[in-house]
Amino acid sequence: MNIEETLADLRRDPPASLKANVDLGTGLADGVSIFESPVGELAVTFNPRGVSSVSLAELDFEEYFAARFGRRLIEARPPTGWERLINQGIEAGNPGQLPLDLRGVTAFRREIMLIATTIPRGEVRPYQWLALQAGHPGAARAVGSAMANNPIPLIVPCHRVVRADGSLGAYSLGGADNKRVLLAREGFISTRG
Amino acid sequence: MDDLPLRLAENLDGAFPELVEGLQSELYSGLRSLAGGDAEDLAQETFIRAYRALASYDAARVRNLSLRGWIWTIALNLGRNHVRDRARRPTVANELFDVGRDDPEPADWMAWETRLQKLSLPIRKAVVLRHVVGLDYPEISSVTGRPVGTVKADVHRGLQRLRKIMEDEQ
Repeated sequence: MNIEETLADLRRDPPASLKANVDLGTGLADGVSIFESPVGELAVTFNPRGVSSVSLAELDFEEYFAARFGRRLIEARPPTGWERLINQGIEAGNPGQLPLDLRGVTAFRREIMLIATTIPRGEVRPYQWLALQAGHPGAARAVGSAMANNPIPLIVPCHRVVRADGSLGAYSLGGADNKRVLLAREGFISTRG
Repeated sequence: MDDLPLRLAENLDGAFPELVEGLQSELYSGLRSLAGGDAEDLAQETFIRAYRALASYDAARVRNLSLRGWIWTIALNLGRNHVRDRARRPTVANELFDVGRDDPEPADWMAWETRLQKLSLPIRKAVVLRHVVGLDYPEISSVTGRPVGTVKADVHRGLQRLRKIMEDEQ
């Protein structure tokens, strides 16, 4: 073999991790990692913009994620420092410094999510209160759907948003029982449903 | 690959994986010959910068890109900042990709890295881009900013020097 052919023979396929890391780095796929929480294992997804979703790991979250966000998932480590922020966010029920990727969430729903993060741990607020804070007093029902569609439950504490009569209402992360567990852990005991 | 710029202009997210599939082998192998163990990091950073650039260009500019040369221009311009940028991104759990890694490194690859290191940087770039990557002389000229005649002379001199290095090894 002459030297030109020998050099051409140095062509090799890269490790599979190259393409996966390009997909993650461009945001064409999100990374997913499992985290512990008071309501069981959570699948937390993220991309360079921030954390994009939280769901129960026992459910078929990959299918859910693809249907809702239209992106693939790759098992991955979060960017440096985010693991600690995610654990803190789950513990505190607040995103703190953790960046969130809320692409695809409407401006109104973002606003409601932001207002929900202002509810202190161990306290609850009715849907109407959030509607009022957002400057749309009649929009309690829309607040309800914003919370039901919150892509980042627990870290964005929609579990602290309840019905006007004090009953807990629905919860997207595994149902009302989980809402009760989370609130009880924060020291809030509901006396109504 | 010929109409890839058109499809990238139309649907970046849909067509970009094809660009990665098509160019990752030559990009990785060429960078491996130029930069050794940092090749995977550099190739990754090159593709991510290419994606961001494509997202910021208007459609006409994307349609007229000569992709291979353009990618190599990005790769060769990459500074040392890529390590810092990486910390801001998620990364795959490497244990998932052991299959790719376990491939035995070709024994002669190490030897060739050592030989290529003995060439001056412009000559090494010209030899690698011509014979490992397979760019033509006008493409290399555009990527390196050196005239075609100079690039041809660089490749010629580089091959001569490599032959001499191999003779001396025996």
